[in-house]
Amino acid sequence: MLRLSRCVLAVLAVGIIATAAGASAPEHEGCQLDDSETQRVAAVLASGTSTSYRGTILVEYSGKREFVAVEESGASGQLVLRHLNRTANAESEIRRVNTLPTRTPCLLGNFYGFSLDTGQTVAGRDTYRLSVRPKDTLRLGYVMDVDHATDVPLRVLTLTPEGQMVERFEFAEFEPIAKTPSSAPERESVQASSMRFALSALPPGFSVINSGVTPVEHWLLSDGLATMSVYVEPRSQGVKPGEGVVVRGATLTYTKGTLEHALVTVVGEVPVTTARLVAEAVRSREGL
Amino acid sequence: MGLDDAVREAMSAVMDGEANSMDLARVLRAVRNEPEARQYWQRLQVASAVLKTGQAPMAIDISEAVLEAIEQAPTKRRVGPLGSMAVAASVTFALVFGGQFLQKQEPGLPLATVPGVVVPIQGAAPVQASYGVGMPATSFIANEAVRVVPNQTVDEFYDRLAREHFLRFGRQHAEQSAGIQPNASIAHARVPGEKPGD
Repeated sequence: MLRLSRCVLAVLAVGIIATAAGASAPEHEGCQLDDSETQRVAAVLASGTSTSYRGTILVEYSGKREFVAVEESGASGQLVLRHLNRTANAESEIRRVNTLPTRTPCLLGNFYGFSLDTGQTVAGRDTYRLSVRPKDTLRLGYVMDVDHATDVPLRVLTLTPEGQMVERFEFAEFEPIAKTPSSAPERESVQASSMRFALSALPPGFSVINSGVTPVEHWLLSDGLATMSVYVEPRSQGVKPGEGVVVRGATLTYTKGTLEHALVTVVGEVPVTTARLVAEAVRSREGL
Repeated sequence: MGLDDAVREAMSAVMDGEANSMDLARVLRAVRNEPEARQYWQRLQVASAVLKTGQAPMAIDISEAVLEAIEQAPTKRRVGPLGSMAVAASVTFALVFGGQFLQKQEPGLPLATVPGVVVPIQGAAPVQASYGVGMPATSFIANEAVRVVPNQTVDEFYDRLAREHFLRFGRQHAEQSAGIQPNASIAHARVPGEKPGD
């Protein structure tokens, strides 16, 4: 049997993705989560904006181990942290946290399986375990030990679809603090029609959350848990088409020089398959 | 006796970066055992390198590490639960295998505790963890297989570019996506430092 060429596969894949995206289940269809799972998942999703805390996180990935001091995180819409292992007496870094639309647990249930169990004690606090297993190979899975009192994940293992751990975050210290919620920064958004490139299709479950043109044209895609940013810029004529990838922990960076003279970079917590599918779907608007 | 068509097909798949573990196993077995396969493989590599880079490769070899990885590979790869996501799996099957061979993880995770067990994390291999229900073991780490993909010059260029783009876009990605992640601090803790290796 003759093997299909890469070109044919790409066209086939884009067609199938478009069909799948269009056929994704509506939110009100039968929920695949039971009541307790729905309640817990909703609480975890909301905890990012409802709870402020300080603490110290152990980060472990790709042979490296690092401590990060979180001086403030949560309801204020900003994050203050210090990477303790990068420089001595590291200065505080202030980062903004955009408020983004979240998916409902039932919608997430179309693409992830959830299960609840008793968690380990983390940073001296009782937790419950929320296991999040992807239903396909297009997204990563998580095992989270979540604080009973605040629903903040205190220990997060990120796993490949096959169950291989690629990254671990764990609080060594955790202290909830009182903080008045404030309005989060406005997120940048750009009219799609003003962009030079477009996405002809998306992998099932993913949608465009945000877009912009600085420093280059980009989109933020998410399925409600997994996220990836897609950056597109013109490819120099002197650069041959090709692809490259680097993975650090759960974060993958995939760069592809396309035949359409675009240089596509996908940065996100997704398998390389998903990044590759999205890169294949980038089109010049002139060609649409 | 001529070279088997299946071996030729598998070699072409490897050359195109579209091979699965069976293709790689077939190619490496043939290259190890059949002089004719070795010659054919080398001709393919030379032709491909000349076409893509304008230069003939200086040396062509298949490392023992790749061979060992292939030999330890399971004969069947678990694609994942299908059910309602059969369409996604179909798409995946079409494009994924090349991507799986492409993926490279930075080496050397230390010992880490995962639910229920303590597992060693060594070399380029991520570790086997569990969602609480039995997951199949995956012993084949495809990272090394990227070495058999020809056109090293272009590949190395894009790998380097991906590394640079991780530093260039990583912080913006974290800021944009932190609001969706299970814990916003995690997204920002992932951001690389200014120095290489941070």
